Amino acid sequence: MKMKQNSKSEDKKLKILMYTLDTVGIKSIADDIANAFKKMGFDVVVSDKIDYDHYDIIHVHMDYSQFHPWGLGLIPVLIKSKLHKKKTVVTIGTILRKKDTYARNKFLANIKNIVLSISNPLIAFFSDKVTVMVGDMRETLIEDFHINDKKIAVIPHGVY
Amino acid sequence: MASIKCIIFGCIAKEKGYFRIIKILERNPNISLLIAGPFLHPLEQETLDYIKRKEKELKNLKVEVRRLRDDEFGKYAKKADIILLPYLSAVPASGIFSRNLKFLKPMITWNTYFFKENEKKYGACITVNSIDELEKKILEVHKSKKLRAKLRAGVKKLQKDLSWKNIALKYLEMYKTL
Repeated sequence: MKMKQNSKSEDKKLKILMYTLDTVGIKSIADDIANAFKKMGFDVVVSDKIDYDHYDIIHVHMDYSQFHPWGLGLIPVLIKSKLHKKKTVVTIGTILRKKDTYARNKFLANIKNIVLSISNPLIAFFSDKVTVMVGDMRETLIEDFHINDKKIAVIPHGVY
Repeated sequence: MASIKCIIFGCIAKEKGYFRIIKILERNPNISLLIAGPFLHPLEQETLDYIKRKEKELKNLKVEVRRLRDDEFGKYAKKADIILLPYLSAVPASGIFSRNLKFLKPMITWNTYFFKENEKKYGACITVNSIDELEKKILEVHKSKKLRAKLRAGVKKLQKDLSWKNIALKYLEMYKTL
């Protein structure tokens, strides 16, 4: 029992940053998770800026369009986080099958797929965990982008 | 027959599958649609032009291109009879599905993986495979009080399982494994 209490108080000490560049959509998810953590007594902040020294966990909530070109823009952030020895989680909002990828035209869609084939493995490599909200997206990351299944967790979207 | 008020929320995007319901609006004036959401991505200009053009052509289509405040979102959801999500692919990050749940309004969605999961496990929405089926289900939901009650019960079950507290606890478990 005592051990359980100790473990709980250890949890409370966790300082979590929910990092997002979004202003709507995916930011609302970060806000909702943060609010739930706050109610449980955690030190958690949602921000579009990163203080690499203050937090234990840096939880990035991303859509590819916020880190152009198509996710590559996030890589320097993840490398910095690694250099600061922070645990980093990346939640990807939406990932489509390669065959469903769309852009302004077919040529751009092909370029987008090539970039995603580079950015997704790099995101997985430089983060401690990648999370998605539905099982199908996990399969997409494994089958289309060759991400190690152990690196991916599925945690659904919460409801109100 | 009374007009059936449908709504599609969320930022303007091709992924939302507007053309599917617009095809129905063109042949069924008893169904009306409001598209409400902000225009965020320049890539979606073509989609915006398309829905704006259709708004001029159709009396039963209204487009409000702006970000809705939370209270406005609720007001619009309550006014609607049915919330539509005829998406081309799963878009769980939009949160629109989850935001809609609290209003207990019937939701008809396309049969993407995410929605199918919620239909199968909870009965929280109805998924469709074709434009004809979408129209059929809109009429059916509007007509059947029993079906609407069944959907409400499904949503309540889903709300209980996926509260934000439970989701945060799942993240916490994961953080602890890092």
